[in-house]
Amino acid sequence: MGGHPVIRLIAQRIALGILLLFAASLLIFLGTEILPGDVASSILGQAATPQALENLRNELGLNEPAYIRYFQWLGGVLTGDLGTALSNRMDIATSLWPRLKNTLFLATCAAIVAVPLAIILGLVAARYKNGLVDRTISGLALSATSLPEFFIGYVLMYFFAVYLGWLPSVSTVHEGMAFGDRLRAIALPATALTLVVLAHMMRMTRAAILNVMQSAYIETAELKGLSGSEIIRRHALPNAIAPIVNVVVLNLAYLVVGVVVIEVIFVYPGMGQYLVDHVARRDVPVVQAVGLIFAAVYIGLNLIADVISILANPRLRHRR
Amino acid sequence: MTGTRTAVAVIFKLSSPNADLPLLLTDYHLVIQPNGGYDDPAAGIGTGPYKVEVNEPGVRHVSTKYDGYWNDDIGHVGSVEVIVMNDATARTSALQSGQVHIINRVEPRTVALLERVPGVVIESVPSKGHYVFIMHCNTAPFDNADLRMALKLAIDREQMVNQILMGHASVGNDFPISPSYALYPEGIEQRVYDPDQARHYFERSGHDGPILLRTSEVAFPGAVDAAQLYQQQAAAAGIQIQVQREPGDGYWTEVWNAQPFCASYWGGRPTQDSMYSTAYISGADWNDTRFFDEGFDKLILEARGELDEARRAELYREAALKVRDDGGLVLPMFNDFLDARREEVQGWVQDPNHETSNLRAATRVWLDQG
Repeated sequence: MGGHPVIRLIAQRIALGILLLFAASLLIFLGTEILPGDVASSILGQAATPQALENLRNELGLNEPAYIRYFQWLGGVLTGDLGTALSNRMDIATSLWPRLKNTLFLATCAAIVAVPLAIILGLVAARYKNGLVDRTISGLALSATSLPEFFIGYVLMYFFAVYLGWLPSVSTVHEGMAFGDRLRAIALPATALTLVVLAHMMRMTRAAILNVMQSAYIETAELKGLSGSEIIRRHALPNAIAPIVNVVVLNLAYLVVGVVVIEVIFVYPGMGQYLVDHVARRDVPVVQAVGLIFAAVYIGLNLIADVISILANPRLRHRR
Repeated sequence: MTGTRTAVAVIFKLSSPNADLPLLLTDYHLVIQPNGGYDDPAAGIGTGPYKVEVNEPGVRHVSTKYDGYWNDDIGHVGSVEVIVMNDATARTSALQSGQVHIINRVEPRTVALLERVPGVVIESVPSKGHYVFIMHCNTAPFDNADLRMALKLAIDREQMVNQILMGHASVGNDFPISPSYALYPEGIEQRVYDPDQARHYFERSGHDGPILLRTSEVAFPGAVDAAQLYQQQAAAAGIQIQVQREPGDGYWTEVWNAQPFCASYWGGRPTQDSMYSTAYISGADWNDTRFFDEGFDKLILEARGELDEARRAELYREAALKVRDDGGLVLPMFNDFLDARREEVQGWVQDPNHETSNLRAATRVWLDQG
């Protein structure tokens, strides 16, 4: 096997990613299997007769052994068929697609604000390390992260929606909504998400830059008379890019898969709310589909992070 | 049918007499649809004043006024949007900030705070729904009438109403009929908390040791707290209740209607007959107190076909007394429906049958633009 070592490495990562995704699908299936309670009885609720339960179990194929149901499900997923929701008999792929778009829209908006803000704050903190500016930035960012998401959400809701009345507290969006209205609707959840992910990225940027600043060549740069900001811009940042990209992509993944709580409290029709609604109703096909998509996003973004750090490392980029 | 209105007669043939038929037909499960609903029951075409515009389950439902609707008494607004908000705090803030006009299921714990918000009106409506502790009359130790009576006397209903539902409920009397029902049995003595009498009955039952009570968050709002409160109240009568908290998942299959003593709830039914026939006659699938009494079954059957109102009321009074004194039902409270609306929402009807004005708020209210 010849080929460029970078291509070989990337191919390895992708293969590993696919393997992981299969493992995740198995875990998701097993997880939904061991949930307490019976699917049929949770659909029909308190008012179920034994005959109705038996009919529904037959209809849903719940009397088949678990491994057969797993392969049936996996086969469906591979051919793009995610199945039918148990609670409302709607095609899952059709209901899921707009939800996924909404979640990605919210995550993208939050990322557009959070990523540049975090990196700039990190650079500023590194430039004035241990000074008043550094301490203020770090202190504020860390306290925002230490608060639970729902608390940040409720505080924002109280001030900006209930007290000041500037922004809507309910972020319901729908097809055909004007772009401006959409942005206004998601202002509060996007802010809450930004506050949640900011500190991690900011602190990692600061640490990565400071790590590089210990190097001998930074000393050389100082000795040849470059200013502090200039050193960071020209010498430290390019060499610290790999760990920064890594943590940024990790947080992007969080913005997609970690939005469950934020979506529920702001009533945002995304994947997270879809998942919560259907977990409560034991709608297993939906839970499996959403779980699989979350896993795919997480694994995919981590793959990208890996590839970028490989490409950013000159030792791996060039043939020896 | 064409545009003209003609008199149409519908004939129902019953296999046994039922004096309640007109009331039963008001049940919200029964809808009139084109071709009897055989074409497409999910199309959302019924007999209401609005037509469906958007149907996104779990997100929102939009309907607009149907032009030329025959009845001007209902359907006063141009369009109605229903938004699904499962989080109670999200509902409350949406109402506070004026984003929505009406919310349902206000939490009893926070209702006092919401009441103080300017522009918000709380609609607390006494209902037919009730929160209960149910004993199986045919399972030891609850097959002992003295023990059942001891447990009924060992609960402080007033305290339950005030501390579990913050006063948004009315006191129950161990039969499942509230004053909101037609032919409510008047003049039945209110059973009150009496630790001394409870102790007397408990000792007479000869039972020894703790009594296991199962509860869960899903049994009714505050059911875990209520079970613990019941435990303390009964302890004053020397009755030791052991509270076991069960997971919400599977509660309705593993615990309710399966275990001999647990917390549960019932919604209202249109008539006394449908309440008793669903859960108290011997042959009922959901006879969740395992109450088997031939005399009681006869009373219900006779009342169903009785057209003389005074006689029916008398039969229902006897039935209520039987459940109250011999049955396995401990009924501390009838819960209120707790909805909230903005001040500008006018024409709200307090309806005991279901929350948000019997689910008909959208067809009944209008907005005051002043």
